[in-house]
Amino acid sequence: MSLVKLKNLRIYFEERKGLFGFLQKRREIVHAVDGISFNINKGEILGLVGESGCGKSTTGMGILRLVEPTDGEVFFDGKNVLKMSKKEMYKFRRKTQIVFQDAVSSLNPRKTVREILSEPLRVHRIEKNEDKIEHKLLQTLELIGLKKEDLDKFPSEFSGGQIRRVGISRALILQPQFLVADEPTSGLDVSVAAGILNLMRDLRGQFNLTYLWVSHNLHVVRYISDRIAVMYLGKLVEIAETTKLISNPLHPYARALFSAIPTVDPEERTSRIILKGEIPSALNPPSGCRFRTRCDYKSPRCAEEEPALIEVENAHFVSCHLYTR
Amino acid sequence: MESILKDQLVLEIEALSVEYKSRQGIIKPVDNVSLQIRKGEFVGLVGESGCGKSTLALSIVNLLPPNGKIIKGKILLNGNDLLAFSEEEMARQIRGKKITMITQNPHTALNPVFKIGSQMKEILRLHKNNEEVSGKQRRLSYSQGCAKILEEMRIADISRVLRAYPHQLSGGMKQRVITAMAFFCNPLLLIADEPTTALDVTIQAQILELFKGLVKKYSTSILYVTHDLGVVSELSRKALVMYAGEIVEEAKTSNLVKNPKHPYTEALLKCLPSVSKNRLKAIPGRVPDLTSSLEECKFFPRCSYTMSRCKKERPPVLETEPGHRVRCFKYY
Amino acid sequence: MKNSKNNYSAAQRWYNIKRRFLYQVKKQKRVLINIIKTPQGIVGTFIIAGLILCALAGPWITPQDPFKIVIANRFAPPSFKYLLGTDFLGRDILSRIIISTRVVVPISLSVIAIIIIVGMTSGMVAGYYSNTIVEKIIIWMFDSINTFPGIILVLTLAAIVGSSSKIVLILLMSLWRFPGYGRIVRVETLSVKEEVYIKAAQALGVKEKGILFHHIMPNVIAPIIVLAGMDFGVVTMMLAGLSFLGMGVQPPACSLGRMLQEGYVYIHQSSWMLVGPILALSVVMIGCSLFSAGLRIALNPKESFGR
Repeated sequence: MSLVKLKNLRIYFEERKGLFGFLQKRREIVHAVDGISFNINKGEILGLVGESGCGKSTTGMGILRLVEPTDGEVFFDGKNVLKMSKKEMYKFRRKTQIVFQDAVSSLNPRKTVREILSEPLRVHRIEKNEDKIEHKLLQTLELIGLKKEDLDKFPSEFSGGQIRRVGISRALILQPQFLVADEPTSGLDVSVAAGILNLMRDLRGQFNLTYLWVSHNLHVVRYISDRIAVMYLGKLVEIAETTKLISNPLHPYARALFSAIPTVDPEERTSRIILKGEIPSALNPPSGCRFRTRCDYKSPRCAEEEPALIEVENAHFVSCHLYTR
Repeated sequence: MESILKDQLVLEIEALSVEYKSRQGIIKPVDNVSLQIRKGEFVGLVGESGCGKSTLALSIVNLLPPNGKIIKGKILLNGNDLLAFSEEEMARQIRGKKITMITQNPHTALNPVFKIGSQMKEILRLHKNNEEVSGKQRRLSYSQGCAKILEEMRIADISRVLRAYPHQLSGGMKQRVITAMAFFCNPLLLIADEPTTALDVTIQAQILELFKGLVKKYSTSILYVTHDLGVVSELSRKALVMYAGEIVEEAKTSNLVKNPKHPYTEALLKCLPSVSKNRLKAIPGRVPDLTSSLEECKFFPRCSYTMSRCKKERPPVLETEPGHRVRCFKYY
Repeated sequence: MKNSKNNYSAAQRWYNIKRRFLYQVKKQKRVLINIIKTPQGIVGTFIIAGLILCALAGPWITPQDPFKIVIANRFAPPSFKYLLGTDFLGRDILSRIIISTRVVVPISLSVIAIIIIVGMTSGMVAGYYSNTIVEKIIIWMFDSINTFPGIILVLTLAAIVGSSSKIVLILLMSLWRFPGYGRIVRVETLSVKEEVYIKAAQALGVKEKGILFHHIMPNVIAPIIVLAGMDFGVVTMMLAGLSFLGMGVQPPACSLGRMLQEGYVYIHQSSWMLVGPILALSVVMIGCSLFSAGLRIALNPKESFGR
């Protein structure tokens, strides 16, 4: 039963560079997300991986309509998010939340933790009595491991890990159904990140949440996701169940990506596939298959035709001409 | 300096301690650290944020901020005491020439207003200045030198890179340029402070392959500072684990990972999602405040193997097996 | 889970509002303490506090009766009894200065209050709705007012409208100053608008009004608070200037500008008449500068020595 459904989502940004950008007739369009479709089932964690510039963060924001998609459809619980009225959006916001990549900037520096955490309750009119709000805040603090005195402190007085926890608890205080977690552990020390991972896993079990876990840290994604989707330059190249994808990545990019992670366990180390060249610019992506400029398996067909997402085996989809008939 | 044979010590640090003066008091980011690096050795220095590894790196080349001071210890490069060098001598002879350093953020390491070519030539001018050759010939040799080293870094379009400004290049490309500048003068030691943290995984793989090749070719020793145990275990032969200013464990990397002896190393490995398949074991508590000067083992508040002794004294270094050293009373 | 507003009695709602207000005050406590920590802050606060005290306690702290005319004692130099001398009607200048604060301070404070409110709101709206017609209109308004040099604008309008009533004076001077505030707030809003925490607030479902007043406002208000501190002095000067020209506060109300004018007229008989008002105006300006300097340091945590 899919909670979130994306159909051909496209998010384009316009860039006008230079001092006289507004005079330029030709607008430069960044194809950040270029036709993505996938489903997220209720209660599952879908990992969305890819390197910088591939559009994964933008996808997460687009699903929640924090960035207006240019084209395509997003369905939440059957309803089309992009066509919702203001009132419906208000209800939608209550059920969906996001944990931002830049946790420090996602907290208003002029607000205390108390205000930051009580704001969702006030906005959605869950509690209006100050005492009841206080009670709920204290409950939440216990859940994330902060103390009562921390309520009246400003974000600048906390460490990176603690700020992340405040961000997570702000997202969860409304008990949403769906959470987009944008790089929740990046920039954190290993021991702190482990704590956050445990927390998010526990909360998923406790509240039956659904996550879209966006990250470039493949170890973490592999550990926590039920399924993984790989993106490259705005396109979805492969999506499958985690164990299947790790043991048998089909797309050349996915293969290179998974082989590139440095691992501690020597038995896991397969021979490394080193990609040539750099990621092409999103302003002018290569024609046909976008990965062809760095691919070792390219054929003439790759330059002419964009490969479609095909189901190669049970619930394992790839977008590559090696597998198209 | 005389040329050295293989297996000779390139860098030897003995009982080094560094102090910072700050508003909170006196901070000791490096507390009685000793380590050795041999010629052509790839040594990994692992630690989390706040453990003092970057300070250690900076103190080797004496680039500490004004409120920092090396208060004790010796740093020997090829047998020469670096602490006895004046600032002038350090700048002229050591930095950029014998010991080079690569930092974490490739985007800020290059001067944004000069082209790559000019920046590289500046290094040649400083270190390989050949006064006897005429101006024009010198400029030519500089250009050739730059092109040659960029080729070694497997950069495809060399002339474009030389003519470009830093903001026109990608992160991975910048890091390669910086590495090129670091290898220009065939240094004895390269200190790399988290050089690939800001880069994507596939680019990181490229850079790490590059490093491996360079070590083989030039026999440069590398001190690779990072928090990523994965990188260290892939590349380095020897690994050191740093906690709260001290080196708590030192061993051959494969041994360290398979058989961690210090409780911190063990706990660190248990945190990694790549290692533990089940619930991760987060380390309770927080990194200690570096201002404390209590006479107890620094990991004591968070350790799960404590004995009464751990609270009373600081454990000394013990060599449990050849090449494997730990700072822990468990092995006493 | 929605509780309708009707479930709570008026008393409970008042309690909630009071609690939140007190919390806001508690938050600002640190800033106030920081102001007192700096030398500028102490002196500035002292002066401003003295000013307000004079305005409040006016008639009771004057050494002499400010309106008592003693022709025999006109143009007297400073003495023990008349600390700043007497004017052309024998009235004690110091007492007159003190009593004039009763008129001047409320006017200046009202102007400051109006320009902060109006300037900030217009600036925030212009910044938040950038690239729309609303912004263009607001900017046009700012620019049109700003093209006129201050004195010319105020004088001309005062002459046209007739500046006898205090309210007109207040409105005129607010009109003169508020575009400066609006522009600053607009620029700050443009950058604050792109911050992640604004997106986070949107993700929570906060409506536009909430974003403007709860999230953007606290982050853009800092520069204009400092400016307002300075402007208190500037507005006082302008008021004195208007009064000097006869267009500001009218007699029998006492004002600094009027006293200056009288001193100017009778300068040959006694130059002491000018000293008092000039000193007073200088003290006000200095006090304001120091206070706003202290305020600036207090609001900018990187500059202060504290946390």
